[in-house]
Amino acid sequence: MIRFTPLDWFWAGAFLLLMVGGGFFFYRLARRSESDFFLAGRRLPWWLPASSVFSTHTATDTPMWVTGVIYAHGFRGLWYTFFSAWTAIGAFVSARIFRRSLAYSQAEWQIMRFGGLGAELLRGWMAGWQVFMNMFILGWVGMAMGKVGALVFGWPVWVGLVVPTLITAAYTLVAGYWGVVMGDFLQGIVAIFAILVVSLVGIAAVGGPGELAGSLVEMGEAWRMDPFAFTGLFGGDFPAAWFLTMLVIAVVGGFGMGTSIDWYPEAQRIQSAGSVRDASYGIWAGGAVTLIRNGFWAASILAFFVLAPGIADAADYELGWFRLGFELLPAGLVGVFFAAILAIHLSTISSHLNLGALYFTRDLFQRYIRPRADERTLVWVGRLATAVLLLGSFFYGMMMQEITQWLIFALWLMMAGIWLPNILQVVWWRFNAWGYLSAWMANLGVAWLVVWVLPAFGVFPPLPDYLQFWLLMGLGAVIFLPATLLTAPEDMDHLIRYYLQTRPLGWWGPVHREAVRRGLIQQDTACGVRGVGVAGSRPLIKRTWTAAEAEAWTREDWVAIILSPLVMACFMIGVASLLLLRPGGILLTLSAVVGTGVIYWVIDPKLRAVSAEYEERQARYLEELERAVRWEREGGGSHG
Amino acid sequence: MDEGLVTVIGMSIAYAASFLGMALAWYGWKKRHGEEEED
Repeated sequence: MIRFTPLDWFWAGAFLLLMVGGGFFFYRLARRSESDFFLAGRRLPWWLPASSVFSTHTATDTPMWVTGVIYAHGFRGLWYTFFSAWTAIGAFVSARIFRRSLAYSQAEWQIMRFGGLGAELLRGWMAGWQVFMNMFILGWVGMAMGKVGALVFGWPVWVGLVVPTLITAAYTLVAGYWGVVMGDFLQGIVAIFAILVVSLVGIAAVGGPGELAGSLVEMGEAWRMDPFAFTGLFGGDFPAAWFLTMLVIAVVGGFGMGTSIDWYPEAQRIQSAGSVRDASYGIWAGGAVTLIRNGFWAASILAFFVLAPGIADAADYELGWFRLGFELLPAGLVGVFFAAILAIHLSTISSHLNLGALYFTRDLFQRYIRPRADERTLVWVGRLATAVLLLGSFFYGMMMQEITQWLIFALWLMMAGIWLPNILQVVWWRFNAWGYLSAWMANLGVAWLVVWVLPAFGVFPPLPDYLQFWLLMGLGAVIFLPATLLTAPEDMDHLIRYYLQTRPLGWWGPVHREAVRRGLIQQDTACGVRGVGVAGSRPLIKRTWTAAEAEAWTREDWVAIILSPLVMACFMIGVASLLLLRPGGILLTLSAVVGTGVIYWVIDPKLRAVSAEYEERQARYLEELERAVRWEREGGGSHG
Repeated sequence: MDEGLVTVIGMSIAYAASFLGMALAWYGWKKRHGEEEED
């Protein structure tokens, strides 16, 4: 139990007031419309979604989880946290495509990409899943806060689970997404401050970076500073096969939508951005800061390892970073540290409360129960849904005992069988609603078989995670590929409408050619895809774009797509190594900074051109979207 | 309880919510098309 001084209470209270007050301040904006309550009116500058991405994905359980993998695996454990790097490619591919769709949620996007009954079933499926998942995440994050409350104050676990969540719910209920995103900004600043201070204090506690590295060498644990300390190709507790699998999932996953559990909250941030350019930068910056944060944490957790080596129980060493803060910081700063923990908790809770309510309100209530509900009714249903999610999360939170176990379930298995379909739905025109729906259904059956039934009956031993992933993906493909090819393609009119609005990357040739044949787009645009250009020659990197040219996917996009994951990896490993004054740390960090500049220089002119052109058409698209959700327009998913 | 079993049970609960959502979508679709046929 930690002793709080009056100064600690003062700072904790002051920061709490600032963060919660910041949320309440936007009450008047949220009540204007459904768009304001759930998307802040779609006009945020990139840095607000970026801070929200970072804040939402820095939850109370995150330092526990990161501490767990770094304490067990050293710097190589950073690759477990690299799943956030889907934002590297996602920022320039899926975020751009999704922002142009204007869909409120991933469920709504289903009826824009697919058509007919299949699309409707998918929308309902995804909405139901997301309502549950948000409640589940609220419970698991709330439970982590309960554990922190028990560590710091000796409170019963339910107090930490319920009280901070109720405080968050108050401003989320009244201020909606405006409260969430503005609260996230303030909470993000407090959280970053605390992460930097505690990490540096932790390293200082062992005598500084040089002493920390020296201690690890003396202990015979120098391998912990090597992010590539594999235990073989397939064997041991960190095989290269697992590392490569994780890289593929994270990096290639950026081409799809929903390849990471984080996609769903990010989809809301993408749509709340003021333009396509703001959406791209918001997602990229949020992901990059998240990975840099992991680098800071990793260095300080190695310091914790030196201070407290040999802890065998994961439940004990998972609390290592919290212990650094509470045990090493002086009076006053302990209060700030606790405020920061509240900050990371509040930001995650508020986001998932609002997101779960969005899926219920927009995708279930409005679409299938009251399509013609007015804006006032929808805002109130959103508030009611928020309250119901809150109560459900308490129930779920009390059911969970082992955070890591449930986290593995959520991050891993649920995504494994639908990882590839989540990419195909974006990049392949022929993939249809029945193929995607069959992939979801098959995922449950094959997961039961591979994860429990066959191992339990001795057909094969329990498989390592990376093998489970590939097996689930392969078995799923055996079902969803025939289901796709044996059913009809989506209606061409529907596909053309989607193609013209979002301009997806990938294998869309038949749809593109049909759009050209109908005179809806010009053939010249296609030349840009191959980087040839109308005049037959172009600079290596083109920096002046017309709107029509910028619509196409060109080598500038590929430069960003290839550089971006490298930059994020360099940031994560570079910062962690830099804090230990390891050779290469400065070089990697500098490379990441330069790489960021190059990406910006290459892609910014194009994103500006895309955004300027698209925003002229956005009002018309939004009007069509609202008519579609009220079943007033053909092709909005209501008819195939 | 076996970790694999806990995991797939948890997954099945999430799927139950998905089936409920899909059932509602089916209801909405049928209702909408019933109205259209009456028109």
